[in-house]
Amino acid sequence: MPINLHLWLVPGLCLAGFLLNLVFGRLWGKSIAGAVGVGFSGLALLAALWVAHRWSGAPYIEPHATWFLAGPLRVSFGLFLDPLSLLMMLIVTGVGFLIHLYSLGYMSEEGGFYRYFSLLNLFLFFMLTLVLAGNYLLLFAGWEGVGFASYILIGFFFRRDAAARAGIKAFVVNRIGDFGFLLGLFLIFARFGSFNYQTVFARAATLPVESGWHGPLTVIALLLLVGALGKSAQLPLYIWLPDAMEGPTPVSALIHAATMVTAGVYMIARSAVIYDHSPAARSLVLAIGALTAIFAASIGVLQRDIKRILAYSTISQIGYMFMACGVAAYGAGVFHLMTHAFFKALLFLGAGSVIHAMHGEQDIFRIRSLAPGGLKRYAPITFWTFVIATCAISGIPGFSGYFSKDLILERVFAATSGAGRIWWALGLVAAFLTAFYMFRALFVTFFPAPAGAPESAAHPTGQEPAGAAAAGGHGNPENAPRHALPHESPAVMTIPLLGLAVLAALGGYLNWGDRLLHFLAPAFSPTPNAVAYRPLPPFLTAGVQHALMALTIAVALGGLLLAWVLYRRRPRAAAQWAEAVPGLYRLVFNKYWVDEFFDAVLITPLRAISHWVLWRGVDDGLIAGSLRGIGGGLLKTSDGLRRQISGSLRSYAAWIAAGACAAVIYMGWLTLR
Amino acid sequence: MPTSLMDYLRILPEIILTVFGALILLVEGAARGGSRGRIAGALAFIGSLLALAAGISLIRYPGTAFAGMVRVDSVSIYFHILILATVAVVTLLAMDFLRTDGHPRGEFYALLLFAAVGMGFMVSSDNLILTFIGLEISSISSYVLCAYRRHAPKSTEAALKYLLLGSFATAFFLYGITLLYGASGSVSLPAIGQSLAGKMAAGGLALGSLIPLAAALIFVGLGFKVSAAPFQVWTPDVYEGAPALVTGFISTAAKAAAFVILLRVFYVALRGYSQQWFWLMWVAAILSMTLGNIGALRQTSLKRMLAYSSVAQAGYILVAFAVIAQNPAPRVLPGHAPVSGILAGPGVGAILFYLTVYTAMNLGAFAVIARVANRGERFTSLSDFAGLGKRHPGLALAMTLFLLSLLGVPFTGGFLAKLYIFQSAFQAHLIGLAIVALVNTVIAAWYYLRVVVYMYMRPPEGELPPIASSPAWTLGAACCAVVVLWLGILPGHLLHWLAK
Amino acid sequence: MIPLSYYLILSGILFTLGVAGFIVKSDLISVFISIELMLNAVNLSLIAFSHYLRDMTGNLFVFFVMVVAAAEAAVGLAIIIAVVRNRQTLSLDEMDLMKH
Repeated sequence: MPINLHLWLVPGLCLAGFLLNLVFGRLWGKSIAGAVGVGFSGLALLAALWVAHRWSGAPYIEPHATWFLAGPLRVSFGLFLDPLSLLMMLIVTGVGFLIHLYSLGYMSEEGGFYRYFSLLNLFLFFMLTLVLAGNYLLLFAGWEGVGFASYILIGFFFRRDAAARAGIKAFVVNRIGDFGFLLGLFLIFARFGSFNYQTVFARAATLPVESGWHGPLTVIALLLLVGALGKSAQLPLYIWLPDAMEGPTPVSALIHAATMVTAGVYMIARSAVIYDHSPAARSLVLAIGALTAIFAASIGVLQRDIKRILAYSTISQIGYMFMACGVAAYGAGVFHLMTHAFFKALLFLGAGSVIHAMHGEQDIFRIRSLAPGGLKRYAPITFWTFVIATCAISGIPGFSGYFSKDLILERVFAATSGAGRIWWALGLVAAFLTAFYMFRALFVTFFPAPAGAPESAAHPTGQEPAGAAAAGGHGNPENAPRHALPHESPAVMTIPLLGLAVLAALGGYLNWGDRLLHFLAPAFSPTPNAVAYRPLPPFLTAGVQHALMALTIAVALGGLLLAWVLYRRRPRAAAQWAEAVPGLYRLVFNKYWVDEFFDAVLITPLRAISHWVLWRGVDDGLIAGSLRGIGGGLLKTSDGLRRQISGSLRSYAAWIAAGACAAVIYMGWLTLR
Repeated sequence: MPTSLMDYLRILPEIILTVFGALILLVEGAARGGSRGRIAGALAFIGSLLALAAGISLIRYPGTAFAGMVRVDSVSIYFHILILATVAVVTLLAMDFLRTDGHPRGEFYALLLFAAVGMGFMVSSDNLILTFIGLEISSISSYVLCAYRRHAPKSTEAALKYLLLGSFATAFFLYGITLLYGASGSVSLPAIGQSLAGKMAAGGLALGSLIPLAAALIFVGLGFKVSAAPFQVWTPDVYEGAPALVTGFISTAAKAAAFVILLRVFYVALRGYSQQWFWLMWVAAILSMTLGNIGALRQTSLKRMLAYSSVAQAGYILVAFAVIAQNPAPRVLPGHAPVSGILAGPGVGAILFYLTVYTAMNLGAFAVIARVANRGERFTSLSDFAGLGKRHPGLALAMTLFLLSLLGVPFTGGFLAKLYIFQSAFQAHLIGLAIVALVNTVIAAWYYLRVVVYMYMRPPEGELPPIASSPAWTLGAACCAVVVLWLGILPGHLLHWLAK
Repeated sequence: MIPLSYYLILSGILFTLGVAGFIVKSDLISVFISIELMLNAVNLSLIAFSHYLRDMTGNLFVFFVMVVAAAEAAVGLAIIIAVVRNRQTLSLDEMDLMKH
């Protein structure tokens, strides 16, 4: 009998913080509300560390009350701890705590302080439920919960239409993903008779590996993938994430960078057994990941809003994690998930610090023109931590992102051959673009404008970019004194920056000698004896490995160099290049018109249906409407009939009578048949 | 068969309600000015609680009464408790609404109790005549309740539409009953079931061709009551025009009772014809879900939006009816099984659970609307809810909870209720139906969340009068909220309790 | 003796006429009469069945139907009076405050 780890304490403490602030938040002042919010997330971190300390290393199940029991349907609140959920728990509570701390400073001038912290705690609770769940249904509950918490956090503090719309967009797009996810869950239950991880995986492991697209496990894997695409903002369901940047920056850091959006990767890694049985589904994961990585990176190249740059880079980086899962290198994917949580949270917090320093300005070019002599002079800590994070995300050797990205590219290279290498090549190009646009953001934001740079560099069309129009994520920029000089953020904000900077710089060494991969490996294999840590294929000799490494490094440095040349040395070149290829530039700048496409294909028809049914249907007389569909011959009759009975009550009666006729005729037909 | 004391015991809740209803009317006449309404309200509340206690005590006395007309079984006890609890909560909710609106109060409570009497008979009747009478008692009381704001043109128009269309639909129902009686020679549900089964086994019956027609006509009448498409046309108008609390009442308790009739008639009496009526349920389920959700998308009046939403909710429940038709588990009849056997049926448990959750969340939502609508029900449009999160955080939070539950977000009752139904549909291999239902929940997210957006992310529009505090209302709404959360987090208690 | 089917067909015709009347007529009172027609069509078949089955239940049922119809009419007329006071019209076609 293993010792009781009291795993429930970790999410339970977050829930307690939420409830306390919800009930008493109005009564006590800002300082207590903040202390409660930060304190309980800190306690959750301590509890998580305590659990990690006492954990024996074997998969641990903590049974709790039955949640739902109806006929064959048995679902419990059971929690589950294995290497994967342990790592996720530590990431969530660790990064979560730092971001709570940061929020104390960032949100200090906002209204609804207690609500903010209570919701942030609620988010942590759902996120921990998600990662610690012992069955798919509880995972789904956490999944929906984080969606809802993020939706409310996006729009809670900003009474702007853009924020409200972004919130709804996020939720509805996620519902599309959830639709697939739920279907997948039902199939899992129908197939394995349970939602419990261990039952499902043990039974799935006995099934043969499927070829083609029709096997039950493949269908399940594909449906789960739909859910993951929505939550993790991958093609084609990524459209909600850039808009979600309307929320407060710490929220973006916590939810839209470090934790929630990676839930899809976590879920796929968690379902490794299912994906292992379906090479077809895995190949789709790989393709989507690679395409998303390059697609989002190429959009990121031209964004001007600092948060949007980071949003697209998040989408792109998650694409890498999907690529890793696509070649069954789940450990590598989760490794990148971890390093990404560190450096992306740091980037967002740094961006928040910049926005804070600039009193709400988010356009990197305007930041440059508003900070004479370069922002780095005014905010040195922010600058240096941002440099570390940029190096990490770009894959500069020695920083955390380099290790994980290199590992993924290596695994993709190893697992593919022939034409399949295209995904690897795309990943490499995306790495180049990432380095380029991240250093572009760094140079433009923090350095003074080089002599001769056009005021609106890289922006020849003259139209106002979307990012600038929606600028002002930090409260009401109109009220902020615009002319005041930029300033460094208070210590409560810089300490989390420094903490994350350490993690972002050194986090990669956790995998020194593939230690992390070995640690995680049991989580991806249902039976304790089988070693899921896959050895590399023989053709991947040390020489090839070194060559790949050199290529990755070269690509990252190349991106750096290009950004340096375009935005530091020869500022005019960017504009000239843009003028040379105006069509491509506009296409990229308008984000490939994806939003417009969705509007035309999904939203507009739905509205049209609604309008049609209401206006034509119920009011004008439903018989008229439905008869119209039957044929042109009846059209005149129906118009005549409609004119005869324009009173709505009578049209209702006609509707009922028509329904009755249909039912009677159907039943009569059955009888006489 | 002579009637015994036991017979009266088994309709004790109805007796108590009737007595208290009459008492309220008497007191209303006798009492003086100011205290009138308060006494009436207190009496109604006490009466509904007593009836509730009587309903719970029925657990000890299962069986039939009055020569098989009334059947006290798990389903009838369950719904007695549900309906009577609803009445008690509505009484609480109404106390201050009636005073501030300056309506006579006694009749409101009396009608409420009388409607509950009808519903009580609806759920426990085993005899089509009694079913019909129960249906009419509850309907006629509801018609009057709809017209309760009698100086408001919308309220009276809603009542008139409800009355005329309701009578229209009742005639269909009655015609169906008549044909069923003619074909089987009985009006008792178990007898009809046996007679049909026996005659089918014996090689058809003389008037057998009437049975499917009867089923169709009965379905029309009951489909109207539960507002299943295509018989839902009245719902938006009536729900919009009637006072919000009345809407809350008729959209929950009355609907639940009608669903019980649907269950009893089709599951007990017409079980042998499930292959035929399966498609009725199937089509009605798809139409209700789709028309309801699409209709709700562009509504600006919250009451009207929730009316369409309740059509969609009825559609989800009809999915479970289609499941029942697919799997008519022959040994597990609501009329005969021991209590624990009920939930073993593949769809029946889902229906009971869904109706319970639905009652709590829908009543709660209408309660909030009634509160925000304020005096004279002037503020029911979406824009009137703008900024509610700032003005009245408690109200906004409650409304958010109810809307999320209606949408089916985890940790609310609505999620498990939907899950239960979809899961049973999956198991009955009604995958197409389950997919349509899932797609509908995607559509529904849009209009439910729009309200949340208005409450939290928009500034208030114009000057709105303050909402007076009301302890009774708060208690009633809290009951709904607690039930929604309780059934979302620990529904095991309910299911266990049922199994006992 | 007249066979049962004749009664049933007549009842069906009457019922359909009632439905048609409800849909076609535009003043409140006629609509009310149409409902009565539908109910009485049902009564006719009830009595026919009762006679055919040699069972009193059908006859009994007819009385209940009549009572209920009377109650419905009483409430209905009260509501109609309330509507007329508000609107000064008996025409159904003008009852469209709520729509869409």
